[in-house]
Amino acid sequence: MSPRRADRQRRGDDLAAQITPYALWRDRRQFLQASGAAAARLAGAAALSAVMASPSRAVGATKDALTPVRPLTARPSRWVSMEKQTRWEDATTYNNFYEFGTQKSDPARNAPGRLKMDPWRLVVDGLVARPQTFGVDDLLKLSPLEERVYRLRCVEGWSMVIPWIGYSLSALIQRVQPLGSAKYVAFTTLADSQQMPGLRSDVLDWPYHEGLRLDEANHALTLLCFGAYGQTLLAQNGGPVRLVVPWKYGFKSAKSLVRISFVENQPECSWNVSAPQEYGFYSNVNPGVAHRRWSQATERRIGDDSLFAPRRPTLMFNGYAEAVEGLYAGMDLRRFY
Amino acid sequence: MHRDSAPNGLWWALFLWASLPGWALVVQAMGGFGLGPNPQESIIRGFGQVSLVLLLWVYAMPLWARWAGGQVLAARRAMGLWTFAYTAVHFLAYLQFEHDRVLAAVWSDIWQRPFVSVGLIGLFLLAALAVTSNRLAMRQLGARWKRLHRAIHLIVILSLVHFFLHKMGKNDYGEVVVYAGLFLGIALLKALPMAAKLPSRPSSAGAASARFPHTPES
Repeated sequence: MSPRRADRQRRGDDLAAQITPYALWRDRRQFLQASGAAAARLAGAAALSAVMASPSRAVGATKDALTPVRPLTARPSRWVSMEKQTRWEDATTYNNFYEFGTQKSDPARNAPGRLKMDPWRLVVDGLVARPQTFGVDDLLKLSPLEERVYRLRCVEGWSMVIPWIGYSLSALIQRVQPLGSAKYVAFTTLADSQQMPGLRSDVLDWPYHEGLRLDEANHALTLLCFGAYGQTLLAQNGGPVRLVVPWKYGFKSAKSLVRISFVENQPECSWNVSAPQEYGFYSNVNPGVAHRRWSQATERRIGDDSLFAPRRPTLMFNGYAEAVEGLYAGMDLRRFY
Repeated sequence: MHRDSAPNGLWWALFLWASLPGWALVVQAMGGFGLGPNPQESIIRGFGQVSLVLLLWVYAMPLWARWAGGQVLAARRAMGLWTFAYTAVHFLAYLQFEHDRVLAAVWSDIWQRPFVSVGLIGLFLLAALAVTSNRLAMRQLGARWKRLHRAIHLIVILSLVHFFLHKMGKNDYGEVVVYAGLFLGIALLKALPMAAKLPSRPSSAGAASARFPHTPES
């Protein structure tokens, strides 16, 4: 056992692991077997109805099917939503990660076993005193890991409650020491067509890029994220390292990061470039500013018990207004949507 | 279908085939499986897709009749009514799951969002065809019936526009292109009746048109 792992286990009186006691190590063989079973189940559903078929609710078994993951212990933090957490099965099979396909079931189908998460390099550069390239293990040592239970609001009108693991991005920002000229932070996702079948489509201009104002990036809520549900991030959820910005629509939280650059001017963001009238640079969750194609006033909470459970009202800044509204004092949020 | 023909085996086969997505939904909803983490969205979109597929199928029925024989057309009214039924459920699911039946919200949606208004116009037209699909209405409308039912061209186009506008939000046009291609292909083949009527189409064609003299081949 490596000293680091031993250390992690020693540290781990494992609050997170108690919450989510998933099996620890999953080898490739299990992955292949279980994905075969999952495929068979899907085929059954497809036979029943090709059109209505989507991954079965009974995906529990496929948790063995996912790329090797390891437990990640984290201390509790003050940022813990008390709402019912989204089921792991739902949070890991229903999300957008266009690099692996445009259907929300595509990432879970295509990312595990394709996305090579080890070794991984994250370049941090631009207007900083100490540009640096980090491996994931370097990053994990940089600051104590916290479990943050955040609401996640997708721009499409659905939401989840997810126990992420990571630390404030500000810890990394401090480490690289931005220059006075740095005003924005640009994030870049991996774009490798060998690993990511979705790159064949020209839905977005690859690589996926996102951006925050420096003060947004420095906000304590902005999370540099390495895990969820007590374990390292799965490929489909943006492993091994991603961003989580809980008061903005989900697409601002870029996945599988390979580069973080400090820049002077507002960086281009993929969705903003592809449909500027629909997705603004800020993209703060705002029930008062409708998307062109649908209202943002309400949301469908994934995992609500009944099929006929009503939608929930969407909260300003996704319920984090108290913490973040100071960032936007005096700004017209209709204009800067 | 425009005459009094008793349902035959083919009619029943097509009828049951068209009812399958409806049964699948009932089984899935009651069994709580197969609809994914967002079942409400799966239901809305699933029925939208079933409606579009069936609509194109009905649209293409005169072609099937050319190749497979006129008795296919006997099932056209039933197929059309299934299409309307699925479209209506698609709309009802939208009312329930997108707006919790708050009509004020639906009303503002209709005016603010072109993809909703376009879809709704298509639904109204489809409803008009459904209520005039019986023999009484055919008799009453006479020649106008045929003109009215040519609205299927418009309905298909509106459905594709509806789907396109919906997909525009995510820049994801793959499926739209497939359906639009199918539509263009079908429309083109239907517009070329001569090609099909020449030698490659022997006696069965004559039999078909003799059996269904009022079948619009438009």
